[in-house]
Amino acid sequence: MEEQKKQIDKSTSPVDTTPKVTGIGGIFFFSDDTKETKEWYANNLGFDINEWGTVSFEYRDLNKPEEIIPLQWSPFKKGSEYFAPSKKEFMINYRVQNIEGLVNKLKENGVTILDDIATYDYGKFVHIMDAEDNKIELWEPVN
Amino acid sequence: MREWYRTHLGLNTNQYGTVFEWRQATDSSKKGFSQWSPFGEKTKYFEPSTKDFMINYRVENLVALVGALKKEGVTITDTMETYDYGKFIHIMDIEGNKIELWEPNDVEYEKLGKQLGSQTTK
Repeated sequence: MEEQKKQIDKSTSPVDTTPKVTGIGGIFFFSDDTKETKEWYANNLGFDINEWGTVSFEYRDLNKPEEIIPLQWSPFKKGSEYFAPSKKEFMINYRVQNIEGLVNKLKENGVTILDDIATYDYGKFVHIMDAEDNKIELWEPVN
Repeated sequence: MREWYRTHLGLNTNQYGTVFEWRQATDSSKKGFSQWSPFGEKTKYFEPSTKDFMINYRVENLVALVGALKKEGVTITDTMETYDYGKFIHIMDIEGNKIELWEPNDVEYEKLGKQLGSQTTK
């Protein structure tokens, strides 16, 4: 019983620092006309375009229900350098915990890391390539 | 692909991909789920889109939404399918992206995941 309780505590504890993905932080994709695309989604599917011209969906972490997390949705101008060196027309941002630990683990595993961890007010970011050359963005939000 | 994401990024994958589990912004007592799945390169599931990705959007009141989309002349690519875990329909956006609309029943969706013995990613 004690054993079982410990396990449960470990999996739901907010201090869990296992380096891993915990959610989706954003979906980005190429568009020929980003303005028109955003307007189409606003007009037909009710997307709220904010004052910066972007759309963010809000949700909460399963284990930290007090925090609201944004999920960024954004069409990018086709050919944007932001997705390079990936040749795909989409890029996914994954929300992670312990980004430093994760980057160390990925380096040990031989995964391609494209840049250094960049720190902003809204979190830390790094970019890597997956097994099939999709560039992905890893993001650890600020607590 | 699923194995790579499990090994390196800690996704709890099963044969379909993974399910991200979270809580709703408007009511933290309610859970929400997002499906993540790599599809085989030759899948017909994304047709008639020629893109290499497809997004599933969670919606509310799908019946009324489809009515409005039809009036607005949006291309609907199939008819609505209803399952215990929600209603689905597929449409084309303004740039030829096929998109999946899902009005979820999150309670039933969670039950289904538990029946399958699947672990979510959270």
